Amino acid sequence: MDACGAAGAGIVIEDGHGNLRDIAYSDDRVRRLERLQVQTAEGPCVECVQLGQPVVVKDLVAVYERWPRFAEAATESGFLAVRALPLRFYGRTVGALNLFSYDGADCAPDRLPTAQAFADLAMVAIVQHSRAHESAAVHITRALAARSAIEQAKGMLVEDGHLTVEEGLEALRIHAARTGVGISRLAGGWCVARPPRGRCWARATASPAELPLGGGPPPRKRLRVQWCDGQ
Amino acid sequence: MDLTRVVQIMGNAIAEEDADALPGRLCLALDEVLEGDGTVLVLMAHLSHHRVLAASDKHTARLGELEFSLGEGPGLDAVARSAAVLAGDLTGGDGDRWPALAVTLAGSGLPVRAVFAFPLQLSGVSFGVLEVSRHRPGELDERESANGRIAADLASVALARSFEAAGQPLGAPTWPEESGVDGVEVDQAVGMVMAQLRAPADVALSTLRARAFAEGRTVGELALDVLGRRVSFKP
Repeated sequence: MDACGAAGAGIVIEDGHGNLRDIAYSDDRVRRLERLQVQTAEGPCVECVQLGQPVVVKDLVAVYERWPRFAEAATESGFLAVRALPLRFYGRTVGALNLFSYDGADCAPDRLPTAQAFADLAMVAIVQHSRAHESAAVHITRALAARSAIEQAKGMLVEDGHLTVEEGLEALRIHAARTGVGISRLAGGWCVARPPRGRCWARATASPAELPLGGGPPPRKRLRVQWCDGQ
Repeated sequence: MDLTRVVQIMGNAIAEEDADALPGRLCLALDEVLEGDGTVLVLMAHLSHHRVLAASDKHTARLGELEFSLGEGPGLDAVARSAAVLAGDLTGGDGDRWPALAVTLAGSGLPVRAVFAFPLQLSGVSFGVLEVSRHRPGELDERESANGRIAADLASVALARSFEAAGQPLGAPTWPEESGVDGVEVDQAVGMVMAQLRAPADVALSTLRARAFAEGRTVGELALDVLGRRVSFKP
């Protein structure tokens, strides 16, 4: 709490039914303020979870009209400022970290990175042992594997078609466009399956470079890709 | 170091605006958290894939390269098990755990003695590893290893957000190419050897690893020769 400038901190999370639950608090005042927000469905943490964005209130007196019950209870507890940071990941907001302060200066922007890192930590602690993040990790490994397969497919074309690496990519693109199969799927298909014996994927014929008038960089070689699917 | 300081260091590394430099900042942050002499950040889709994103010193970058080349080491184990793998003395007491790595390290003159590998993972699914090295041998105490795990968890979330920001489907952020720290050439060389041998990727990689080991080089170095058509495995 000291690190991100706060006098009290608490965490609410959304349960499986879309209801907010207060699960952690630094002291009883915070527990009561969180309970109040959950019960009345008003306040910064409720808004933060709904929006998936940080909600920063530097002066609670100024929000009496917006959240009458919450603002009054919070100021009665001695707090003057509050920040609600989303526990948010891969498009999903699982809850919010609330930081209560005696001083609006705690809401300075330079305090935000540490506060958000604490929110991330709370989030990781909550969901690291659940399956909630699995789809994110699977997305990452798939994206990495797809890029790896594209490089391997380029290498195959380079070898079989006597191409440069750049030409290999272009050949892959041309074939993907011609067959209507996405480049990732095309490459993935080749790299998962064993390359068929005797099959030639591409041949490139580079046309002679046309010299640009008045110097300048040489033009790119024109690539003609010929696909041989026969054995 | 207390938890607050760990979170502060990681929070500052993650929050900075220059997204391209995030991997490098994460390495420096891990060095600070664990008083390391260098950290390497490797993304791995699976155990046959290796993309070094950043390293805070060249010795640790070399260590990561050697591990992938030999196919053994704390980093690969950390990814395989989705758990931290700590080795206080690679060339001493831990020498039996990864014998080829221990021998290669001892002969290489690299100053690295201790390596602490923390998987980048979410819900038990690993997508890479952060490896912190020290020139002095010695185990991490309980608090340090807990700090390392927390730092790696925060790094995992930050990297995952970069992938989230890259969009769908199969989106991945394009981090700037840093010379000497990459795995793209290895993938391209694997593809060439696949075509030469008419064999699947794992066989091609094993072939490259065996040749590299026999010649006392890394797979990355050999890959450049394959791409330059100076080495061929054509039967």
